[in-house]
Amino acid sequence: MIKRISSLGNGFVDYLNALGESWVFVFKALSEAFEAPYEIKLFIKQLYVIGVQSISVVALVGGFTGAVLAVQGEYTLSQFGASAYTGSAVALSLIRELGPVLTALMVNGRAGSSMTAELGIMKISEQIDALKAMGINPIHHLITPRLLAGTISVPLLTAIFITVGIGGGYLVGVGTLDLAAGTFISVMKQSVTPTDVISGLVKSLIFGFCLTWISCFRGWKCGFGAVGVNKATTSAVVTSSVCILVLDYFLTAILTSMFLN
Amino acid sequence: MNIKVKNLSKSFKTQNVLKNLTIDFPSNLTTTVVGPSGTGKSVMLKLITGLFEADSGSILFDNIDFTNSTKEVRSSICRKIGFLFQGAALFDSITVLENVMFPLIYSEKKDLSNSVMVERAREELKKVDMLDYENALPGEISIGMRKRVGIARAMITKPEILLFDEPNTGLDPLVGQEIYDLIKDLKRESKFTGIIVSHELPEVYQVSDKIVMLYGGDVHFDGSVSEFENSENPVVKQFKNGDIEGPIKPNQ
Ligand SMILES: Nc1ncnc2c1ncn2[C@@H]1O[C@H](COP(=O)(O)OP(=O)(O)O)[C@@H](O)[C@H]1O
Ligand SMILES: [Mg+2]
Repeated sequence: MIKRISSLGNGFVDYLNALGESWVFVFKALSEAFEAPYEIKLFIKQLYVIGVQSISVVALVGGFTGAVLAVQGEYTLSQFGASAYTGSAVALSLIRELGPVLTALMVNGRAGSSMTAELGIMKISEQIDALKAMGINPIHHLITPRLLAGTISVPLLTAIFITVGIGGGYLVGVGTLDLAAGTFISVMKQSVTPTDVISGLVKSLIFGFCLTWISCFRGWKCGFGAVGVNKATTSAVVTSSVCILVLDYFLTAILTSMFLN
Repeated sequence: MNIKVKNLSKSFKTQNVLKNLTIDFPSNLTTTVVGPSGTGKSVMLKLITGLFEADSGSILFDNIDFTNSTKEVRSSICRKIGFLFQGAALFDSITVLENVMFPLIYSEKKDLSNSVMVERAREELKKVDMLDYENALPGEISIGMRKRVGIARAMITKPEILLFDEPNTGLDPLVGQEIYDLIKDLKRESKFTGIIVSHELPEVYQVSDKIVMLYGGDVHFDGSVSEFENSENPVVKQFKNGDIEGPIKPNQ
């Protein structure tokens, strides 16, 4: 019994250690952003890998999400005779909630997991040691470009998600649900305010930062062998996904109360 | 450049890996460090390059203490070291040629033009007979080839110190001999202080000027190759003959 309690305690201490280390890690990575030489090429490469290569899947998911929102929104609203407001429902849901969250989850699955695996393999095959042995700071070279690119990519991808989503909602709403095209757009314009857009943007920035942070840190701390990489990747995807959803609740609460006052 | 390791100790958590190690690596000669797996040979190399911090003791490069030096002095020493890792540690997202150019691209002197760097990298690739594979990715070539590229990458900065971590482990005897021949060529053509970590006896004698045997974190032998061959020290004898019985216990 005492053994069990003590192992529980040890586990907790290990957890706190890792948490502390992850903050030191991200702080170092951010401060390296201001250190010359600026690795613009590496940053652009990561923008491409994390951002550009995610465009098609984000657009696809965005389009169908918008379409589903139109169908569901129209069904609910029609019960109150308010199906004319379907356009607002689609746009607001996408901008405030589903755009940032689903984009972050998609990027996490696509780019986050591969980041963890790549860094983990670099660690266990001594590539990170090789960098250090050449006098190159691996955080500066590997982590900083990824962290910046991830933080910037997610909001941009979210914008694509929302745009394509509204398009999908419009096509379904106007094409198959017989909503008036003019009304769809005009109610949308009326209901969406700058604060909606800002809160969506803030969320997606934070999601992008957190998911890259977690993915990079898990890869960086990867254990030995294929098992180590496997564990790190799984844990990175699960941790980031949970983080995104939990943060989403708190951010929504904070942002809503901020803008209501 | 002469390297001296003095009273060096290193432990991980509860495990004492190196205990008070004192070894002299004479300038422009190649010293081979032998010993059973898990005795801390790789850890010793990583301490010398600054990849690990020692718990106590000092590492002297031409009498400059590495362990107590400033960041600038340390990185200037680091740039004089070429390191061949056990699995070559090539960067797998870039080509063979880019791997060899890498230390030049990211070194302090950024004044070399791209074409000069390509030229230099090709020169090094030619020496290790890998010019035909310059556009291959490391994942596409065999481990023996990767080690040759690793040697080219280590040599491109014209290092004064070359460290080889098990240059032959995982290679078949023929490819292994090719690597030894390559090291012999390097020794003939350029001056460097070499440290080879290996447990390949007697093959490794051909490239060694001096042998040091580690076991259990201590030095058990330090002398010339012929002294090693004739040594009656029970630890050395057991290791040379690969005997089961003797002072060396497996998994220690
Ligand atoms: N980064 C590390 N963390 C914890 N223990 C390590 C680390 N690197 C090496 N060790 C331990 O140090 C011992 C010596 O390892 P190593 O130097 O790789 O042996 P070898 O002589 O075969 O090269 C091993 O028991 C290993 O478990
Ligand atoms: Mg080793």
